[in-house]
Amino acid sequence: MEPLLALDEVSYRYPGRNTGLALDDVSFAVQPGGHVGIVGESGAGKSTVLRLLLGLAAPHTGTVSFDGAPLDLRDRAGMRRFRTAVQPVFQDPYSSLDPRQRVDRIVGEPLRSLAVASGSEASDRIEAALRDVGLDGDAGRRYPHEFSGGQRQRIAIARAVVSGPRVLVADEPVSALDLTTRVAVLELFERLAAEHGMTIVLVSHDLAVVARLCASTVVLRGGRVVESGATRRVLAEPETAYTRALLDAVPRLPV
Amino acid sequence: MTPAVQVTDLRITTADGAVLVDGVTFAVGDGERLGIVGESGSGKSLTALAVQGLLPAGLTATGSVRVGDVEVVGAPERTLRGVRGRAVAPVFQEPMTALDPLMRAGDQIAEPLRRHRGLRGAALRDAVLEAVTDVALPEPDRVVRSYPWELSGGQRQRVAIAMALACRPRVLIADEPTTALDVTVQAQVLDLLDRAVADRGMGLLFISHDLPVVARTVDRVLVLEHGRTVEEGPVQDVVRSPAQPYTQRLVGSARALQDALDAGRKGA
Repeated sequence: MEPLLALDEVSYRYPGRNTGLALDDVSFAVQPGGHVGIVGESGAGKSTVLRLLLGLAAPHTGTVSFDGAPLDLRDRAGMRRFRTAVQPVFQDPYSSLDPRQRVDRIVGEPLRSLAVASGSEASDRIEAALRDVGLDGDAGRRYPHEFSGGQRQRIAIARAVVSGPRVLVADEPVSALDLTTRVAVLELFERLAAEHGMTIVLVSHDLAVVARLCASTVVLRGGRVVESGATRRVLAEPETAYTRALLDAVPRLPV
Repeated sequence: MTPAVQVTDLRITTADGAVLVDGVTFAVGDGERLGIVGESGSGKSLTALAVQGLLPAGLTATGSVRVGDVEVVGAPERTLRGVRGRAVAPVFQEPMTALDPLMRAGDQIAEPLRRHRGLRGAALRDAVLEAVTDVALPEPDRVVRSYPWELSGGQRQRVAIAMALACRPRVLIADEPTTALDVTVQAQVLDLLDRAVADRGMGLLFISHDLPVVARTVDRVLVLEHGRTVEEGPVQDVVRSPAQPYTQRLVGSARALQDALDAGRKGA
């Protein structure tokens, strides 16, 4: 099966910084329906991987490919198809939604900028997306500040799914949320992915969040892949001391 | 002896009468570790601020907050300045906001030492180095000369803890002190807090939405929902057999994430 998204021997260096490689020889593939978790701590290279996966930057060496073809950031038509198919969800629902815009306008933004739909078709799709994420029919007429953190993240997810993407690339999508809301939003991701045949790439420092959602896991440290494989295997039999340390550091409830 | 902090029937209201914290009562004695757990909007952070007389303008506290033998509710600013730092000292979630970005770490730690303990000159310099060494910061000489942005998130939180410990408060008030940190750094900072509090026989008021973090850190816990105490008791009991539906939900969510971690992905 052709991977949806793949990084192949990718290295990346931020221009003008002599701090070395942000990513060094990173390879992994996202198969259709196989949610992937990318785990690491500060400085691991998570944000850089995210920028590459979203087509916001091109690698120094190696390739990022989409549907088996290398991604070319200068190919405007190709990038528009890419952006329709690969949508981001960001971490902080408090800062990623424009407070001056009504929710329906926020959710409909990808439809306008990617010229996917307009007029009554757009309105129908916005309403369907809001319903899909479990918000009321009148949510579109309100403003972000009228919603709780969990509801705002649902609005951000509605915006991500409105264009009918095949992949959601989510950057710490539940880290700013309370534990109960966190679990509810992860369940929402799981349901939407199943219903719409979407694949999720989840970038997080939190192994538990990845474990809850993702079939495979890539552990990054200092810009390199230290371990990758089936999540179940990575958690049960970590191959490296670093993954073991990450697991051991997670606080547990007393049994 | 009177507890270090005794909060009785604390009520916090807005100017237009909304009740944000409603009838909260608890005590923290010397060497005791109390957790307040709850979700966004539960009133846990406001309670922590009220203990220090730091409520934002427009909010009013009634009831009683006694820190040692000082009544904080309604106290003038001059009285409160004597309480803060010396009787109760805070550690906040994001050390970058607690630290002055334009001031070297050493100077920031020196300030409360000068103000509350009257240290000057060589004695002050020694006390600053000792405070930095105490929180297990490597290369203390380099750290005291560093600006906050030259330090990592974990190092900044250690500096903030050093500042809080500097005046030997009776109770340390930590509000989500590790939420912004990586999980391995979180474990180190929690260990540091454990040790700091135990070594000094200090009380700890620990506030977090993260039940597993609270459970590993405190002895007793207070569960807040919408400003009211719904459950309290020894943290082991509350976590093992939560009596209230709200607590059951908190425990259930924490266990769901933990089970995912323990079992790997279900059905995969």
